[in-house]
Amino acid sequence: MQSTRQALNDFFCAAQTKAFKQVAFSIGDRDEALDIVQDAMMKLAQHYSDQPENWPKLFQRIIQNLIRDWYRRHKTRSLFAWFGQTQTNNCEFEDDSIDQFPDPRSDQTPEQQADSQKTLLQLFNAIKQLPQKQQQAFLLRAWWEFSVEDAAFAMQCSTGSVKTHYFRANKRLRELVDNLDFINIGAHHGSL
Amino acid sequence: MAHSDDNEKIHRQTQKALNLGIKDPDKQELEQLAEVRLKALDLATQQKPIKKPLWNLQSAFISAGLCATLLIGILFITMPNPTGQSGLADASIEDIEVIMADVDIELLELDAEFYQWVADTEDQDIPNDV
Repeated sequence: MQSTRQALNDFFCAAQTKAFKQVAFSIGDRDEALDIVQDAMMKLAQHYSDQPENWPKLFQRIIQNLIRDWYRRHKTRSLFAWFGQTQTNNCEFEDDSIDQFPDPRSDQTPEQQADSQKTLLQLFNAIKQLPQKQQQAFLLRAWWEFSVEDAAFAMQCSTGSVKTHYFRANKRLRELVDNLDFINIGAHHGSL
Repeated sequence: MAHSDDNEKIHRQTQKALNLGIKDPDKQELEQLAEVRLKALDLATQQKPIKKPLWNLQSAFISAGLCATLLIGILFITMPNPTGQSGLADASIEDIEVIMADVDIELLELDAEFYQWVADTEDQDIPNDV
C-alpha cells in the first residue's frame, strides 16, 4: 500500500506541471486548468490506483474527457451569453512578445537567433490555431511522446483517427510556420 | 526514416516552443496542486469497500425472477388453445364478433317484452299473506 502511494506520488509529481501547462494551453485559462488537473488527479487515484502501468494513458484519458466537458460547458454558456460581452481570459501566456522565447544557443549569429525565436513563436501560435482534435492528437504524440495506440486510448478513438488528425496537424503546421526545419534545437525541455 | 527524423525534429521543436511559451505553475498554483495530490493519495490508499457476493447473488435472483414472470406472462397471453388459435387471438375474435354481430332490433324488443311479462307474473304469484 505504501509503495503504491509512493509510486502514485512520484507519478503525479512528474506529470502535474506538464499536464497543467497542456490544459492551460488547450483551454486558455489557468484557473480552470488547475481545477481540471486536480480533478484528474482525484479520479485517477480513486479509480485506477491499482493500475500503475496504465497511469500515463489513463491520466491523459481523464484529462481529455475533462477538457471536452469544459468545451461543452463553455459552448453552452456562450450560446446564452449576451452579444458584445467580452470573454474572460486570464491566460497569461498569450502575450506574443518574442522575449518569451529566448534562445540559449550562443553559437548562432543574432540573425539566426532572431529567426529561431520567430519560428518558435510562430509554431506556438500555429499549434494554438489547430482544431481541437488535431491539437489533441499532435500534443499527445509530439509533447507527451505517446504511441499511436496510447494516444488513441486517451482520445477514445481509433488509431486510424489519431494518424489522420496527427497528419493533418503536421501538414497545417508546415503551412503556417516558415522555416519549420530551421529552428536550432537547444536544450531538451520536454522530458518529465 | 527521413520522415521519422522530420517528425522527431518537429516534436522537439514543439516541446521547446510549448515549454518556453507556457509559463510554469507559480508558487500558489504549485501549493494547490500539492494539496490536491495529498488528498488524492489518501483517497488511493483508503480501503475500498469489498463487493459483497451476496448482493450480486440477490441481483441475479431478482433479475431471473423478473425474466421468468415476463416469460410466463407472454406465454399465457400468446399460448395456443386446443383449437390451434392463440388465447389472445381467440378472445379478441370473440369480442369483435359480439360487437359486430348483426342484431335484429325487433327481436331485442320482443325479448324485452317477454322479460317484463315474466317479472309482472312473478309479482302476481306472490301470496298476499306471506
